[in-house]
Parts: sequence; C-alpha cells; structure tokens
Amino acid sequence: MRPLDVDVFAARVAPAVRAAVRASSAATAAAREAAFARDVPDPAALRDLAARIRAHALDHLPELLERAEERLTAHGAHVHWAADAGAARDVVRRVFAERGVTHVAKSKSMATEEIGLAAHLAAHGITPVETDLGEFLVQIEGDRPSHVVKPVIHMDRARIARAFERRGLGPYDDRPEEITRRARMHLRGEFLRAGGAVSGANFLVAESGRIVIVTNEGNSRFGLGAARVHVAVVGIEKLVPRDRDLAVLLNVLARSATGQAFTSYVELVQGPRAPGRADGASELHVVLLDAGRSALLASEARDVLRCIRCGACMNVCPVYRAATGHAYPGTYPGPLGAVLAPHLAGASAAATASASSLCGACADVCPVAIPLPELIAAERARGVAEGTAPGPSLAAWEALATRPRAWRAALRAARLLNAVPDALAPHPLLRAWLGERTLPAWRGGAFRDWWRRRGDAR
Amino acid sequence: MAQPTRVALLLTCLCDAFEDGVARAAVEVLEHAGCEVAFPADQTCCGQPAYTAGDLAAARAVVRHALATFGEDVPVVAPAASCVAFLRHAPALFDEGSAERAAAAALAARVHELCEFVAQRTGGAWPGRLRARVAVHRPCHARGGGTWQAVERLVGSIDGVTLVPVAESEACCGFGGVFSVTHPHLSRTLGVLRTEDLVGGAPDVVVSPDLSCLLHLRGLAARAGRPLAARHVAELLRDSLAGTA
Amino acid sequence: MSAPTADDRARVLAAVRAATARRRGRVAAPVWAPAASATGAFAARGAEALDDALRAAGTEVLADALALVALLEREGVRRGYADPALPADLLALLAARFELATACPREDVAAFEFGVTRAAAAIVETGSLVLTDAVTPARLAAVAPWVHVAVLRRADVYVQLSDALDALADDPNVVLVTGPSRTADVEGILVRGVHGPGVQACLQVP
Ligand code: SF4
Repeated sequence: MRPLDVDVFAARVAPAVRAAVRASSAATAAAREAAFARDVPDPAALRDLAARIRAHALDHLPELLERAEERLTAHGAHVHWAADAGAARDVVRRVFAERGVTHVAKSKSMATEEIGLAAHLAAHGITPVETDLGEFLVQIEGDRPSHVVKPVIHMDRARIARAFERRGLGPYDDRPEEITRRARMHLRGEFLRAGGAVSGANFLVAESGRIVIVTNEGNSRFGLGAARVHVAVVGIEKLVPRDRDLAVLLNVLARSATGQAFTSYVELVQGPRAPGRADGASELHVVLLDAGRSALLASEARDVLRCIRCGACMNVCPVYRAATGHAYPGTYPGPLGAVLAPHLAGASAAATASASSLCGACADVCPVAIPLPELIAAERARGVAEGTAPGPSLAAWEALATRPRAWRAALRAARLLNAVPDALAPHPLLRAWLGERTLPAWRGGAFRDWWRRRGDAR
Repeated sequence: MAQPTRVALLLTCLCDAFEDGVARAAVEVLEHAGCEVAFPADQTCCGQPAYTAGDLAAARAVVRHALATFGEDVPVVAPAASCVAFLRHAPALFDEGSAERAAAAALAARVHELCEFVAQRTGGAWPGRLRARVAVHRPCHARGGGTWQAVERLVGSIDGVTLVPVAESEACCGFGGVFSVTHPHLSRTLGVLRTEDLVGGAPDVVVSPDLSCLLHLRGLAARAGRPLAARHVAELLRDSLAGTA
Repeated sequence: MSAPTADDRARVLAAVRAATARRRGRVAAPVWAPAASATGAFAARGAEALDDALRAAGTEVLADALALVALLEREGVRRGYADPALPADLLALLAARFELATACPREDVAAFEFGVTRAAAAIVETGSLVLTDAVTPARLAAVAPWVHVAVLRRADVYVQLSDALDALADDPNVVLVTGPSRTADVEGILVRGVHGPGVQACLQVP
C-alpha cells in the first residue's frame, strides 16, 4: 500500500497555490458566517427549511419533472431527456448543428463540465467559448476548475496575466481591474459572434417551468440575450416545486457561496422570446440530465442530491484547503465530490471517500443540511464491502477488541515494542507513520494495575 | 455530603495502551466532583477505528462488546470527546427497530465526555489554582459547542488561568484515524498548520479533551525536534487541585 | 426529437419513479409563513426602506431626472439608449444632452455607453430590480452598456422576495438585478463591470 492519489497530489502542490487557496477559502468562509449572522434571524430554522424544500422535491421528483416538462413545452420550449452523458452531449450538438450554429457562448455550469460538453462540441466543429471570467481562464489555460464556485481559486494574478498575454489580449498587466476590462472587451465580441448559448441551471421550478440561472458577472444575461438558440443542461435533481421556494434557496445560496446577501443576476427563463421581440433566443432547449442521478436517488447517498453547489463545504474542508481542488478526480472536489463523484463518474468509491479526516466541518456549513461526514463514511463502507477499500485490514484488531482477555494480554505484550527501534517497526505503514511522528512509550495495562492496587489499598 | 453518584469509566484504548496517567487523572477529577467511579474491566475499544475505516461489520462487533460491558445503568464517562461522539452515533449502525439499536440508543443517552459531565455537576466551576496561559484545542468530535464550551468554562474558571485565543479555532488536527495512514502528507500538513495556530498566542500549555489529537500533534512536534507542551484537560484539572491543597 | 431521446425519457422517469416509490415516509411539502424566509434588515422596515436596500446592494438611487443627467456626465458616457415608452419629458431631457437612440440593435450594442430602461418592480428585502421581457424587452440595452438606469414606478415595490416570486406572471425571461455586474475571480478582489454594467442605478418616478 502507498499513499493515495489525493495525498500524492497534495504533496506536490506549490506552496503559493496552497496559500492562495487557503486564504481565499478562509475569506469566503468568514464572509459566509458573517452574512448569516448579520441577515438571518434564525439560521438553523432557515437551513432546516431549505433542506426540507430540497428533500421534498427529491421525494416527488417524477411528478415535478413531468410538470416542469409540461410547463416548459406549453411556453414553447423543447424538452429533451438524457439518460447518460453521451446522450446529453449528442442532443446539444445536434440542436446546434441542425441550426447551423458554429459558435456558442457558455455560462458557468458544473453539469456541462461533468459531461465534457465543451470538448465534444469543439471536436464537432462547434466552437464553445466560456464567458464566466474564471471558466474563460480555465479554458485558455487548458486547465480544469478547482472549485465549484471559484474555478480559478488556484490561480494567482501573475498566472492570469501571463495567460492573457499568451492569448493575445494585450501586454502583461496583472491589475485585476485591467484583467477584467480586457475580458469584457474580448468576450463582448464572442457574445455577438455566437449564434448559440449554453447554460446550466441552479434550479428548475416545476409549477412555472422556470429555469433559474444565477451569475454575478451578467454573462448569462448577455449570452442568452444575444443568442438565437439557447440550450440549458439541467440535472434532474434541480427541481423545486414552486417559484416561491426560490425565496429560501436563493437567499441561502448567495450567502453560502460568497457571503453576498444576494447574487447580482438571478435570471428566470421560461421559454423562447415572444414573437416580434429583438433580444433573446428564439429557441429554448432544455436537456434533463440523469447520468447517474436516478441511481444515486435509489442509493443510500441520496441526500447528496439536495446539494445546491454553493461550495461552502470545500471552503471549510481542511483536506480540500491543503490538497486543493485538482487533487480530486472528477468535476466535484471536496466533501461534496467525495460523495458525489463516485456515483456520477463511476470511480472507485473508497479512493476519494478516504481523503477525509471526517472532521465534520462541512456538515456544519452545508445550507441544505446534507450529512456529508456520514455519507463519506458510508462511501468508505461501500468500498470495504466491494473489496476496493484502500485502508489496512482491521481483522486482527476486531478479534482482540471483542475478546477482553486477549485484549489485555496483547496490550501488555505491546510493551515489548518499546524495545524495537522505529526503523524496525513490523509494518511498512507503521514505519512510515513513525517516520513523521514519535509515539509515546507503550504502557499497556498500566492503568489496570494502578486500579487494582488502589482497590487493594482501600 | 450528598450520596456520591456512581459512574462507569470508559478508559479508551489509547489510555489503555499509552496514557494511563490521563485515565488516572480522569478518575481523580470525577471523584473530586463527587462521583464513585467503577471500572468495567472487560472493556476494550469503542469501535470507532473500524467505523472510520469503513469496516462496519467490525465496528458493529466491537460496539456489541461495549454494549455488554457497559450494561449497568449508570452514566458512562470518557476522557475522550471522539469515543463519546462515536457511541452517540452508534445506534445508526444497527437496523431500525432492532434490539441492538435500542440498546445502543440507551447507551448513547448515558455516555458523557468528562468535562461536559463534570461541568454539569459543578455548574461550570473548577476549584483549582494554577498560573498558566492555556490554549484549548477543540477536537472535531467536540464540534458545535457542548464539549469545548465545558472545557473552556472549567479551565477558564481555574484561579490564575488565562485562556489564549486560537486562530481557526475549530480546525482539524489532521489525525483522522486511518486517514493519517492513507494520507500521510495531508495528515502531517494539517497537524503542522494546527500547531502553528495553537502556539500562536504563546501559551504555556495546550489542552484538549481528546487524546488522539494530542498524540498526533505531540508526536509530529517531537519528531520535528520542537516538543509541544500539550496535555489532556483531565491532567490540567487534576494538577490544578494540588495548587489548592 | 429523434427516437433515442424518447427512450431516454421513459428510462429516466422509470428509474426516478422506482427510486422514489421505494421511500417509506416521503417528506411532506414544507409550509412556511412569508416571514420565515425574510432576510436582512430592510424587509422589516417596509417599502420605505427601498432606497437603503438598493444602495446596500450597490445600486445608485437617483432622486430625479437631473440626478440621472449628473450621473451620466460623471461617468463620461455620451451615447445611449432610452426606452421610447419612458415619459416624454425625460426622453427630451436626455436627447438634449446625449446622443440618444430608442433602439439598441444587436450589431451596434458595443457602441452604447448607457441604457435607460423601465423596471417592472423592485424588491426591498434583496435590493433587487425586476426586469421582465414584458416591460424591458431591450435586454441587451440593460446589460451591455457601462451604465444601466432602471426607471421604476414607486407603486411597483414588493417588500419580500417571496412576494415578488408569488406575483410573477408568465414571461419568457425575468431577471432580478441586484447591484452592478461583478467578479472576484482574480485573487478574491472585487471588480465591477465584467460583462454587465459597472454602474447600476435606479430612478424612481411617481
Ligand atoms: S454539499 Fe452542501 S455545502 Fe457542499 S456545495 Fe453542496 S450544498 Fe453547498
């Protein structure tokens, strides 16, 4: 056995990158806490309400999906269903290809990231341009996002400025205002060139068929306003029953994600633009994406489907903050990813689930009260049950811990280990462990002796 | 003097193997708080190592053993926040409606972390005397209040003690049981970060209600050649009584 | 659409049905009083807190048409769009001082430095302006220029976000605009005006 991938990656993270991620996540975590303390009279009650809204929606998903489909169709949208990532990619590509769309403006969307949509479109002659500043940087750097809310939490301004310079966006200048101004100018042209727009969705409301897209930059507002064809890729778990449910969820989402009271642009899309209007897509296609979600709904990890992708759990996760997002396989890092990724990507459950000290910080901050540590422990247990668990066997320990006489004898015998130099520890893992730490002397049974002598003396 | 309250000591496997001094201190603290301490000699471990490693069958087997050992209907007190947290979670390991789940729930209802139990009996006061600047490490299994508030109230009430604030007060020490084996680099990194915050306010001593964190942090610091003055809170409470004798 | 998609519909729905049918007690629809979702200090003060709420969100509040002119001059913008349905005196005032157009075609959008549109409503709780396709069809004029000014009738104010959502009429596109466009992607430093306006303002009229 050797250290696992997340650890191997973590050992190679540049100190500056780790420092950047730690500082940014700490600042956001503090802002989150301050926002709830300042604005929410009873945070626990609001979180409970948000959790129940999501739990209720998941328990009534079939009805809600059908209702949303019916409402969207009534408003002139096309609804597509995709059982897996491949089907979703095909639908999106076909919609654009059949309409002669060669450029699409993408807004930030974890679902499209998850299904590898951008690469698929590019391979078929449709140029996708990421328009969220962070995602744009990821794209021009050939990188991948390392956080669900802040894709470039791992990049400092120097790297960003160099990336812009390489991309031909002017000479090196690392001032955030200048970087933002250049992105504005450059992407403006892309918005106007694009015939298509691709978005994800933060929520989909069943009663109205409204797709909810939340951004701070206004990129989806621009992209959807300028495009002819809008395709939204929406995970089937994103349903909520009513428009007014958003009053709870949007309030907790903004505060949990960035510590803002509210996100700058909350866009509610119900259908294509009305006839005679100039702005807005004349076609709206909604792709309802399963890709592992219905199986997850049937599993013990189903509560993770409540997730609203706020990123709060990663901002407080000690492992995420030290290892950084790229240490995790798949699209979703941190505690969320430890539970979600194996179900969506079909990766080994145990590998990412083991990358947690089960400290519980994530559960404290999750706005929809997902019991993340318990779900992570359950993923580990699944790994053990399926024989893919990476950890050492506990069979010998179990045998002792259920037999008191053997337990006592073993602890006494372990005192002999005091005579063994650490370098000769009887197991490579123990040797590695002792290479970093000293253990106190073995004193097995010493308390029991003291207790007996004390009893005798009385 | 009121009739002493009978309690059963949950020794914990780490005290059994390494730190009898902590367990002795716990006994003396409990006795000072008016308890009569029993020690069920058949006890072994609470089962948490297996749970965190994902071996639920092994965890259940060991919990069953603990249920049998701590069958007497008295409060069970442990000098370890993490064992207590695990035993409170243990009912979820058994099928709903099963007799074992009921037994585990009954034990969960009467298992207490040492400081929480003592603070409740003494109204949060501890009649010791000790001149020291103390930093409290809040173990993850004491998250959300109860335990560390009790620790800070008791320690803070010792005559002469100054509590030193700790940055990122609820950050994990990085031990995490099997995690420290499967993720050695991260475990050490988190331990080093935690230690920096703990000693940032120049305390004379760091205390914690969890021995596992302490063994990890002390072990890392000693190997790096910078020993960390860190003790279990039971030892600090017990020693502070000597100052009043 | 083509056959595989129809299959996928049946497959996905069947799987979701099977997963939810297995649940023993399904979580009931939560019922809550509007007050339970109220956040922040503004909603409790009612409609009169609107100006404070808008400002807290980063939206400038303009007392009258002259303040609007002063804002545009301060920002040094010359060319802009104004919704032809705005009050005639306001249009005349703007036309006298700026290069004003009453259409904002997609091709020329980059040339517009300000946009003055109507807003359907505002929300006190969040300090948001509500723009709908029904009232603000010129979506690009409200997002592309550096300055966006939303003209709001004082009567069109919701106190709570949930009130505003309850009252939403069918509309292809509604956006809640809460302050200017912003990013903190570069080292967490807040910068205004990424793709949308760097200056967001609201002019209230009777
Ligand atoms: S799991 Fe919870 S905290 Fe993490 S991203 Fe999802 S909603 Fe946010």
